[in-house]
Amino acid sequence: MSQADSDNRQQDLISEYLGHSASVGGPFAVLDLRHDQATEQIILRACQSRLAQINRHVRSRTPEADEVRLAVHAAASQLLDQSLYDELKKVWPEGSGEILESNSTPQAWTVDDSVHIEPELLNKAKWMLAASGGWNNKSRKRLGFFARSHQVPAARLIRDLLGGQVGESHSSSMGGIITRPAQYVVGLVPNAVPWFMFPMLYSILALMLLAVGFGHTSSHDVTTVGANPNEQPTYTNSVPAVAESHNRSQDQADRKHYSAILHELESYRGVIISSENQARSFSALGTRFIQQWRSFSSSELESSMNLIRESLSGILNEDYFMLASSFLGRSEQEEFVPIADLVLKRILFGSIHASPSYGAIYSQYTSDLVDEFRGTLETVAEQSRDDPAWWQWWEQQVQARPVVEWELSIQPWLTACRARLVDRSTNERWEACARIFVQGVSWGDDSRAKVWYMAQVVDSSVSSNRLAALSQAVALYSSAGGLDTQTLIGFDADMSDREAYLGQLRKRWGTQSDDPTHESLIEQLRSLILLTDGTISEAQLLVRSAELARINTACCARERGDFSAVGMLEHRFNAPIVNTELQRGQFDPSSNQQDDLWADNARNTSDADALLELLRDLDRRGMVQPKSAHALVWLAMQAPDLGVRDFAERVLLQHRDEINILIALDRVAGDERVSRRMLSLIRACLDDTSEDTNIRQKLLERILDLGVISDIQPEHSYSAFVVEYGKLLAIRADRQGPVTTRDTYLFMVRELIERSIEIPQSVESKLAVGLKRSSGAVLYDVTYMESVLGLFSILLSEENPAIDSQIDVITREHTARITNARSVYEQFMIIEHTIARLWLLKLESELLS
Amino acid sequence: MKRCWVAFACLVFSVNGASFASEMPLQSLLQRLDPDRPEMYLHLAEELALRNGPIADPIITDLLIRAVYLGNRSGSAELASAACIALAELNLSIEKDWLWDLALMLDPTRLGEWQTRSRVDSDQDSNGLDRLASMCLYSVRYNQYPESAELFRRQDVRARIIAAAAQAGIDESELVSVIQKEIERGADDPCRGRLYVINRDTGDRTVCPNHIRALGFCANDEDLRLLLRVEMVLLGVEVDTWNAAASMHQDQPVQWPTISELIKQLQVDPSKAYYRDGTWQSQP
Repeated sequence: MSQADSDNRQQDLISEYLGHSASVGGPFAVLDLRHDQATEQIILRACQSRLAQINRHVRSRTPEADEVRLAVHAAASQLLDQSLYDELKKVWPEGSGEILESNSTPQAWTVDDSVHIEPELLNKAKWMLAASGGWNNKSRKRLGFFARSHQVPAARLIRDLLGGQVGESHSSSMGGIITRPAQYVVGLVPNAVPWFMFPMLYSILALMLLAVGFGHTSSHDVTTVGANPNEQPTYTNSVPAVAESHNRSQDQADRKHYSAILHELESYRGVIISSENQARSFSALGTRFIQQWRSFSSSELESSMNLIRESLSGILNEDYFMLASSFLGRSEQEEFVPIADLVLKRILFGSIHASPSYGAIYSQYTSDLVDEFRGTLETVAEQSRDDPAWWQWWEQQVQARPVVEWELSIQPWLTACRARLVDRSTNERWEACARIFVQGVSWGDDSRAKVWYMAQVVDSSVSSNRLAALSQAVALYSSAGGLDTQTLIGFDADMSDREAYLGQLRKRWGTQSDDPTHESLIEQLRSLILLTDGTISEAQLLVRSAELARINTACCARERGDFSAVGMLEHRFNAPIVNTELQRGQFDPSSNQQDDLWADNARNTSDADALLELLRDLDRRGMVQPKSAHALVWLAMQAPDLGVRDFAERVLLQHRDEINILIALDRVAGDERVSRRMLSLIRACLDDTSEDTNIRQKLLERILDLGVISDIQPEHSYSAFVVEYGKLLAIRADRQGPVTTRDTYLFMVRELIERSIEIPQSVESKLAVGLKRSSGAVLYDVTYMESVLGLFSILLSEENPAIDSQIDVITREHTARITNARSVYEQFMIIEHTIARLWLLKLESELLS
Repeated sequence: MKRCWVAFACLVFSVNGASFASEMPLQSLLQRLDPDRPEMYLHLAEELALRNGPIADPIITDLLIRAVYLGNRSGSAELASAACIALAELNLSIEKDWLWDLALMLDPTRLGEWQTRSRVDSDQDSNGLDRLASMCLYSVRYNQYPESAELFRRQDVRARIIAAAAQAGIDESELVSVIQKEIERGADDPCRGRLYVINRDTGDRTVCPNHIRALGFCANDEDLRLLLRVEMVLLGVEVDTWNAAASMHQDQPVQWPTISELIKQLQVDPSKAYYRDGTWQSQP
């Protein structure tokens, strides 16, 4: 890090902990003091306030926080020195002068006299200080970390380092503690050094180091393995010897510098990396090691690699481990270095601490590290080129990378080829690349290459032109038997030609399935997927959704071995949706003469017996018409006779599922004068006795669910679809009775948990947001099924790692399509469409493997 | 010798750099922004917000949306979502809830925080105006004149109804036209929503002859559907059946928040992340 970077970094740290105004420069800004606030008391109070502010920060326990604390103390000590104060006032801007409150002394900076620091510890601290070149940013950071890791107060450690003396001119407050370090630095320069000169001092130190670096690198003939296909690789994977050609002084400078790396690695011995900042620091150290390893002697190299291995294997937190080890995964294309591989091999295959608990964590971490590497390789693979030299270089990289699961080591190879296959441009050099590709992979019966290749043949995104060249290479140059020049596809082959070619491959490679439903399901899935790939009219959405849902259910049933269900579903997958439930008549809100007459009589009759007879007559008629309903409600509320009111209530309850009754109740529910008795009656009609119920809300929900407006055409019978869909979900879950989408989601969650498959928080979060932004049955169903799809893709991926990348492609395409859907019904169909694609992928990979 | 001059130049620049650092005007800070360090955008926005208060200052909004976009692009989910949450604190035209939802989509580890906020928000009583607005539509539907007209004349009630209509995907002018038509129907209704009128000859109450289509059902199904859809939003009504949802034309797709949508709403191009000469540019 250059000095400018170091300064910027310190400014950023001060800004982060104390606010931007504190980082503008100078001790006044750091303490937020005006030029005229020069008294010792105010300066110390300001110091205390700033320390308290740091303590309140969420990252108050980090080395960075200690750096800022030291800066605060340094600022205080400078301002407390009157001669410095006058000079500083001329140069640096003042702060706002607002006295910040500071509640208490930060505990880290309390000088605890009861703590005794062992001489050995003190010696180590002194050694660390000396190795860091005295009091500077680096030493402050390291001392802070050192104090924390040994559980001693940093202030106490510093005091003891300075001989236990506190500055005479100050009180025993914190301001005095750090005076000595500042004076120590000041002492390096004959006269008092103003604050602004510190950057210059740091610059001098940095330049000295830089000069050493210049001298070192200019005499090195550095090349990296496989940096560029045009360069000749000069290293193998074995540990190289240190370059012998340096002159003695350069050698000494190099070794002094690189010894520092080893010393720093040793400082991590016995230390558990337990914070993000520590992990980051370790990774930075590791990066320096990777960059400069060539100048280590063999023994230093061995020691360094062992130290790295020990430090990483001691990390208990997965995230910190990934962060700390991230330097091993860095790989720009020009800088694949074998040393990272070597360290990784040590970690993966070397023996480590005997602690059994580390063993379990270790294997988990290595698996994650492998995933990290895999991701890196995949990213580079996706940028493959039509250049034979690139392919030769890529072969080296793929082979150089160690992986735990060896059979997956060819995945980057396949990904690189796929990236070329989906490229629609033509390039004469592709044929040569294809040859390198097929010769670089095993085509044996237990190899993934055949499965992968056949999947490309039927993938419409693959260019026929490029596929033709690849087919040639497979037939002529691969180790796959059974092919010859008769088994090729043309450069302008269409999908039916490619299907025919696939058939030939299956025959020659002996991959026909014994299960008759297998292939028929594949055929049906393919045709349905094709049918539902583009824009579907609104009228067809439900029909297609039903067809897709049936076939997907058949696939589930087959998975379970329920072949009778498979047969039934396959046979009628395109049958019309049948509404087996009793249909309500379409609601008609108009009234007739009979209705008017009854309503008139009910309102004008005063005789109780006559009213009771009217009510019985109404009850006998069946459905209550609109005006009669309003009159009935009036009777229940205001009939003079108690018996009439009670009877009217009974009739209301009897007909509570009729829209006219609910509308009449809704009309009175909105009246603020309505009686509590009436409200109770309404709640009883709603089968909801809770006092907290929003009655109008519930009434409206019931009215709508009963179909107050029912102008839906029969072919759009959503209810019929939902009924059938519930039955299909039950078959999928192997349960009796209809199953809801929510149930389906919960079943999937349970299944993943039982298989110890982690459910990503992204699925849960997406569900939470979707439910919150949804209102009503359809939207909830779509939200739940979207999460079901997410879980299904995870399950499939775990069971079939070979098709992992294709699953990713499908889910990405799904996300783009569902985001642009025009309606919630289209979203539903898209979800079933994607489930179908995933089933097809699974079935095809089973067929080919 | 050459190295000495280089060293001297570095020394001079570092001192000058230190001098510049003593005063950092906003322009300089903006010009230091680096798209490879998205956290700079967030920190600067936070600092400006601390100075000026969390107002919808365009520069703060510009910084935050770039922090979201660049943070997401560089894989810093936590930073992107933090910037999103910071945007929610500004008085933007975008709903706060939507921004929080986007923050959760970007960084799923915030689920606990998000759930806590959702619980707090749902406890707040925001139903006063919703209730009045739903009463307005209720009185419109039941021909309760002049109550319907008085409520609809209130600006706050009218605004809430229009906002609810927007939420339901209903055109404002269409809704206002239907409401006004129904209010006029109510004004012309002899019974004024009471169902009965008094027969002057006999003194009896008779059913109002005006209602061939029953009270509460508007003039036709289309108008009824329109008013009910808005009432559903105001009352938080959720239908349990697909048929009911279809009859209410509730076919809007589920919308998960995305950064693309955020960019579209704020009309900012966050890929222009370099600040030069007073404008955002895509190249340094």
